[in-house]
Amino acid sequence: MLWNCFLLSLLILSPTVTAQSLSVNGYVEDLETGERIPRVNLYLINEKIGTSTNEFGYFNLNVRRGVSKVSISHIVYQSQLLEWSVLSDTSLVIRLTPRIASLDSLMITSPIFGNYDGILMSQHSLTAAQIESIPAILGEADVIKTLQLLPGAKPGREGFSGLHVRGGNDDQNLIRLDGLTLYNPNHIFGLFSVFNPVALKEIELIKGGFPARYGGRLSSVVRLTMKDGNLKRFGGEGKLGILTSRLMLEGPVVKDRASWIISGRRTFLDQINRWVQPKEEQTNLHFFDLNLKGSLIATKRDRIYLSGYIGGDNYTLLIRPGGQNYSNRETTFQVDWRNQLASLRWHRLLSDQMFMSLTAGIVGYDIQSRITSMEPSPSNSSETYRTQWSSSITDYTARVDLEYKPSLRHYIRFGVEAISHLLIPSSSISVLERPEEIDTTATPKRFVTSEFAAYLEDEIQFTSNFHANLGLRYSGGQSEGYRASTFEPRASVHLILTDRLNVKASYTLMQQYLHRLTGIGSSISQETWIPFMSGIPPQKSSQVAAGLSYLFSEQRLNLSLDGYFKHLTNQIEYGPNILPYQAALLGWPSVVENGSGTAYGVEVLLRRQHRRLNGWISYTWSQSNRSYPGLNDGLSFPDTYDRTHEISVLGQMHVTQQTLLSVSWIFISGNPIWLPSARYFDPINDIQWFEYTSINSSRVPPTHRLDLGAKFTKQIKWGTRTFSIGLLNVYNRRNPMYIYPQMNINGAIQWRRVTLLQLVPDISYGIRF
Amino acid sequence: MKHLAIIGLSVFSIHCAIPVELEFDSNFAEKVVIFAEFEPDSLWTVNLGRNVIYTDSINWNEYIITEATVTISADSEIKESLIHVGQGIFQSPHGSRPVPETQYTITVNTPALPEVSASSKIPAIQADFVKIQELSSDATMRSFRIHIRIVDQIGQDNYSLQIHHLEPICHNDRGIPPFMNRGETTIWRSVSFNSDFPEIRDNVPDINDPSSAQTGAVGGSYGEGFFTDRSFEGQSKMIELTIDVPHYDVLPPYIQVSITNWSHELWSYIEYQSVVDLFGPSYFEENPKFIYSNIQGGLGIFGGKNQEHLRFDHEGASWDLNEFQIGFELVQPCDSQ
Repeated sequence: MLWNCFLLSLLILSPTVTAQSLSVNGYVEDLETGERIPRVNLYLINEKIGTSTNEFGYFNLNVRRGVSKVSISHIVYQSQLLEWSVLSDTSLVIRLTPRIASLDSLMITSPIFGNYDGILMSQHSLTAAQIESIPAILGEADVIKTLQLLPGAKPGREGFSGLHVRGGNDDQNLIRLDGLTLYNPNHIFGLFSVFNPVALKEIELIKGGFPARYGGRLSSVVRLTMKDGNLKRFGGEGKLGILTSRLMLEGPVVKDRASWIISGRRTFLDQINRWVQPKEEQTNLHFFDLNLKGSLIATKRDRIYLSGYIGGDNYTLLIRPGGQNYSNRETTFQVDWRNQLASLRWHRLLSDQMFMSLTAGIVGYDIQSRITSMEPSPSNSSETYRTQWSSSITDYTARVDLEYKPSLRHYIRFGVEAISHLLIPSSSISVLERPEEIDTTATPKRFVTSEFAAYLEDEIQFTSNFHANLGLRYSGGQSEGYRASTFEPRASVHLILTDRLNVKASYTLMQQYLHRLTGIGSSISQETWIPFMSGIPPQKSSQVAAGLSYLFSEQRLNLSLDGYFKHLTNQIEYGPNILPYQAALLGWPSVVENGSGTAYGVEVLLRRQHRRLNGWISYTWSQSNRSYPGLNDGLSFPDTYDRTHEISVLGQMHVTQQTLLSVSWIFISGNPIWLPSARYFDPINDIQWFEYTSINSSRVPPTHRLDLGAKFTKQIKWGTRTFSIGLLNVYNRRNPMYIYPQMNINGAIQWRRVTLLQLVPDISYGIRF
Repeated sequence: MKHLAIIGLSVFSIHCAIPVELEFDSNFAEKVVIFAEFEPDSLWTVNLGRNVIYTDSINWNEYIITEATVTISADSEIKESLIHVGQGIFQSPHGSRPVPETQYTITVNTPALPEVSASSKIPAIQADFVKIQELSSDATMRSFRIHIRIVDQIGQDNYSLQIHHLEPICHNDRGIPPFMNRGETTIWRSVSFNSDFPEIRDNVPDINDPSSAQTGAVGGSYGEGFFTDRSFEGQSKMIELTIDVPHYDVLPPYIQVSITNWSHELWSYIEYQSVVDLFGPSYFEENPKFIYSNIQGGLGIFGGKNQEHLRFDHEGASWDLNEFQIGFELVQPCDSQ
């Protein structure tokens, strides 16, 4: 019934369909590689109507019969101004020429013509080239760290990749790589993200005003599209950095018909450590990732993509007899985590008005910690102990998305999605071999959870100055015999007041069927994903946001101002003083608290887009609180990642065509922390204890840092050579990665900080051919 | 080489600790701290103190409470008022002692701090020695299998089990080190044991963790074993224990099996003792774990426990403590023999 009402309301709200409109649809491609380009802006100058290519490079514009002027722009391609003479429905392919590599702009995308930058608000789009041009930590450009520089997106901890968008947790980000959801986007406990920039074509961050096609997470959408591979010729790119090296190769299988791309990345930390550490005690840390993709233009209307990703981390602490280790046993402590993804995508142009995309795939994520203790030379009587804890999640996803352009002023998207989750939140194995094997593996609790959704959204251009995206998503799920479903209304409106000033507003309701538990104080410790179930309902958020943007066209300056208020419900957190075993013994509902949260803030972004000097300045003021009846005496307390002020300044200057200088400075308020308020003494057992009172009532000092970088590019016979140098934390600010207490000689406790990155040089050398 | 120097510089820059100023929570409230563990036949004794701001320097002697009204009541009737005997210790002036299965409440009033109270009781315990059997013997060690029986009470009971034997000992002319196997006196030596009872664990939190289970056939090797009555609630439970004790020329094995039944309050206290970080909060841990307290309005613990000692020799004959001089303080020189 509600669905019918929604459809009816769309019909009533719709402006009259123009009988004279004709469809112009097709793809926008890279002239040199044949890659289809997402997020290309197409803008009808006279009609003041625009659209953007979707993630497959497809567009569909309805134009009036006759001649139309259209501007086509993308941040890394040369803009085009075309005159279309359209007498009937037309399909075409537009080819854009890349700008010279060193002139890649840093800027997030925005249109060249007019004041149209899409209906959706709180949305930013980046290309891999833009991410590569920002000063990198230890030579490794990072997707998530670049997103952290945008207003409203905050890091979890100094130097780490956690992404906390508008007061949400980092498990509330919908991180989609080629259409499938990844669970842990972190390498090395979050020092780097799992995305190899060289394999990526486009990155999009949506912080609010979520269109109905996205769901399943509360706080943000991070959509990443892998490159398809060069359809024209064989090519590649390699880079040597301080910590990692990478290689990407691509080429056609059949020219202009089928392509492939493979890219890999690996850190050398473990190799370095082997040289410098004593053999009695060795700590090793390494990660790798591998991206594969193939694409096939099956027919003029069909294209098929097959993508794969595998990435993993390993941390090992090995203690052998000898040195200061007096034990005669060899003990190994290991933590591994791994993301795997395989997706098949098929898109088909069903008609001149309708585009279909079908996605099917599997995603796996698992984390394990293991301890093994054995004698170095086992004998018949020696004992070996093995204990292992693991947690895993596997998703099977199928989704159909359709885009339909029935008229000049409507762009309808609809589709369905189904996901089956197999979760094993906690599995423990304990084996004693002495020499017979005693396996005391506890049967882990397995959850098979299903999730489905259907959506309909219409991007309506009521007039040339008033646009809206109205949508409704119906989602549901089943877990442990418990069912939940809801309607999730979505609405974004966009009003162009003058050629320079426009305002936007949005309302969204989101529902998330999975929860992640880590504890208030941590993001690094054991993380556990659990499904919704009786006693743990799906988490929800509703967000209202409003904003305006003003274009100072002479200076190519754009000022945007966004405000938001978000209310989160059904948030869960471990109850007070819960011990690790209690979850498995008592069941999850018994060990978690069910609460709510609020987040609100203002985001200001001033950006300049110019070939010679560009960049942005952003400021965010925000508050984020949580409240649980069973925690903190029921009183609201600051969220662990509540950071009131955040400023980022980013500048990039092309000194010459070959030389690019960049600078970035960030300031972020310190995050709250839950510390003991008092100590007391047990004279019977001769031991002191700590008293904990208000949660997160203390704060660590703010983080700020200045980074400088320079990139020198040179064309050589067979390609391009790039040499990058940089200096991170130029004024050597000792930002706290974590703090710990230390007792002095008088028995007083002093807090000390551990800094991850002091003044750090960055150097890398890359080639592209 | 240049590359390596840069790597070295980067690695060097990691892990450098300097003091930090925090916006620290100043919402400190001073509270009474009570520590009292009571057993049958133990004189009522309570330790009183105060808490102190986390970062302050501490001399715990400055934070004991010497002026307070401390009462012990049962069934809403005051049974005893304790008096200060020094060092923050309050004791019964009349020599009164707690009785098992009685719910006691302590109330403490101090001049400057809010009133605090807590309740607990001593649980009943009944355990018997059944038999002992020597399994093997050589010049250095003797192995025994022991059976004991616990008669469980109604309601949840939480037990621990320890085994000791008597070790003959004397010391040399300089007083150290002590020589064993000469028999001038004896000391208690803890004996690790195996058991056929699969619910025994090394520490309390592991009791409910299925992955910590040891198999019945081989068993673990426990210094002290903890278990609950969940599989023998209100019934008799026979438990088999196997031990190895050193072979002494001068003294046959004299064995003591101690079974303790802990009140809920003390059991929770020892449960959290093993999971709370003794060195303060860790930024990388999950939510901080804090020690259990049953003191209303204050901090600390007030709890009862009951212990049964089963003493028998290698032939199963019972023995009495008075038969031996036991304890390090009684150790004599070896040449006094």
